[in-house]
Amino acid sequence: MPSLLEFTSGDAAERLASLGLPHSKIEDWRFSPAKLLNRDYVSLDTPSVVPATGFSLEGGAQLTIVDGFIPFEQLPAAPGVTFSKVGPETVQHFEAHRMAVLNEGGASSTLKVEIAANQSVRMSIVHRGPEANGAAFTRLHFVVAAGARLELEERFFGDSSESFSSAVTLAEVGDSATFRYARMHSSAGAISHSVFVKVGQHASFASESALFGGAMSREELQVRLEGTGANARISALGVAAAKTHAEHRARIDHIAPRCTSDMRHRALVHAHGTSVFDGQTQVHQSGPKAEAHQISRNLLVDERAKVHAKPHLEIDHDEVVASHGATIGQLDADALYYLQARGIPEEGARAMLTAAFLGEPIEEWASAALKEDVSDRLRKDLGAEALLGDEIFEES
Amino acid sequence: MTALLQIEDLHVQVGETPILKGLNLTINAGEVHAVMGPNGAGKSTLSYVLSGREGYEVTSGKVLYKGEDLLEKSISERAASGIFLALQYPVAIPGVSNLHFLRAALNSQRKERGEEELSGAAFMKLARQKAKLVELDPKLLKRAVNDGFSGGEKKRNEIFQMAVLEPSLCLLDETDSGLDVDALRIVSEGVNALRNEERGMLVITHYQRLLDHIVPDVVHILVDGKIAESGDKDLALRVESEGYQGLRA
Ligand SMILES: Nc1ncnc2c1ncn2[C@@H]1O[C@H](COP(=O)(O)OP(=O)(O)OP(=O)(O)O)[C@@H](O)[C@H]1O
Ligand SMILES: [Mg+2]
Repeated sequence: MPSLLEFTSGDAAERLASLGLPHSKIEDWRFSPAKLLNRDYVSLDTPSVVPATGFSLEGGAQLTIVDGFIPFEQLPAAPGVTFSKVGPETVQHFEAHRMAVLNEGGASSTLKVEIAANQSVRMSIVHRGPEANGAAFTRLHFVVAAGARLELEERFFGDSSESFSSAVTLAEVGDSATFRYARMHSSAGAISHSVFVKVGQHASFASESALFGGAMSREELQVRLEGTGANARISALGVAAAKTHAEHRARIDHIAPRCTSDMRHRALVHAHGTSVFDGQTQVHQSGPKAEAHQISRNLLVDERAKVHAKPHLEIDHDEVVASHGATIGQLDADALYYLQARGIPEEGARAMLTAAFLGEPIEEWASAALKEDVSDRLRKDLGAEALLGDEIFEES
Repeated sequence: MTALLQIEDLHVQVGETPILKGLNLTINAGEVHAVMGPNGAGKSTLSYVLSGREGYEVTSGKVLYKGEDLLEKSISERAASGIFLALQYPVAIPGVSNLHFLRAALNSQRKERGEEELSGAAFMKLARQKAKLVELDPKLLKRAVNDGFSGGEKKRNEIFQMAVLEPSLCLLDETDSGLDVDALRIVSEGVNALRNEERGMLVITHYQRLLDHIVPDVVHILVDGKIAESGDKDLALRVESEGYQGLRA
């Protein structure tokens, strides 16, 4: 069985060979189970049957990607959208970003999706990860032209804890365009998803995501606010059950003046689960009159839960309004007592308070489909469904 | 006749510190008992122990409620069996709506008692009716539990919950503190509306004026972890004018 290095070809293979695969001595991988990348995986030839998914994705162009294979022959026809197949090395050159280079070398091609100027498009993509110890590579590139709007839903799922999935999403958001990107990850295996976004003048990028940890669920965003008045909003939710790893990494660069950014992360971490948050926002000298906020809140089910939360701001300019912080704690004992004293059994009281903690950011999401899928999943995970009711995640 | 609540020689400590030191108290169905006493005497401790709050260790003595050992029941089982404590400091719970919370509470209690759960519509009707009774602003029903409520709103919310849950033993810990005169009257009326033959009440207060509204059958003075004196409502008047001096050990 080959190592991941052997999955790569072309120029990227050479770059990766000299970089090497990630390991725990590298700062960005200190808290990740990098050993999973140094295992052997089997390569997959033909995608297996397209499965039914049960996600609440309605309307717009729909696409299912199995084992990383993009169905180029069966792309949906959608007004305002042009699909094309391009080489993986296009768009952006990655020299030192190991996961981007691995993906470039492993993906045989890139699906390029262009949204024509001033068009408004909804699209959903379901990724089914490989079975057994298969490895999959997917590379997508979105171009949202000036004044256009793209609402993209993605669901990543897979049952095999032995599998590896590498996904890279590249996006350019044109002037005054909007890209709303909603995702839910629930893969049992190791998955690395890296998202690189460039945001133009007065354009907005909104990322809403929920990560249900698997062997390694690692999501990374790199957002460059390149046009004056650009805006980025990231809202990420992580749930790390026992023996799972949920990691959110985000970097926002304020390159142009008058940009705003907001990064919010919340995680629920069970005993023997690990959650990582690494947020970095840099306001460059070229980006005055910026506003930048970051917050990570972590709820530990008990003291055996592991949390690494590192919010970080770097400001090279005076005219900036900024804040950042992180909290780590367990459920409030007084609140637990109060619910029980009113007759709610302890398990139910815990479920209600946990649901309240996770429900707050969910309420703020613009994607109704993501709200629904994540709430459904949480209701099942938290138990005490009768107590949580239908409204718990919706009521303000 | 079995007493509703019978406390015998109750000793309770927090950590290593004894707080209740041999407390005796009997409440029969239909009676209202007031408990007064200096700060730190152990009044809240008594109410917490009865409700089952963690951190209060019973080292000896017993508590019978409706003839059964209360102390072996969990917090939520006590609530389902009819014990309700209106807290001196109600807890705020951001992210959980007051209505959702109370419906979950009521239905959990009903389930525990083997009764049918209330539908959303039936619950809403009940909640609106009781909110009106204690003149609770309906806007507070939809807000998160006690989150950002004023001191008086929190206290009123406690009585509202009590009215909805219809407990058999109501423990009110300084429900009057922080209430303006009108609120005091409204809350007292709410409490009085709940007085009946089956229900018992234990009203903890520092102020005699509450007892003008909620007239007690018995008044106890709790000093240093024990009942120092019991009497009728005139005892409260005496304490009001003379203080606790003569009662301290
Ligand atoms: N959790 C605790 N940790 C340490 N001491 C405690 C704790 N709870 C109660 N005590 C102590 O027990 C004593 C009794 O407290 P309690 O709250 O019962 O008094 P109280 O009679 O209700 O007073 P107040 O009139 O001020 O409300 C006090 O000395 C208090 O400091
Ligand atoms: Mg007290």
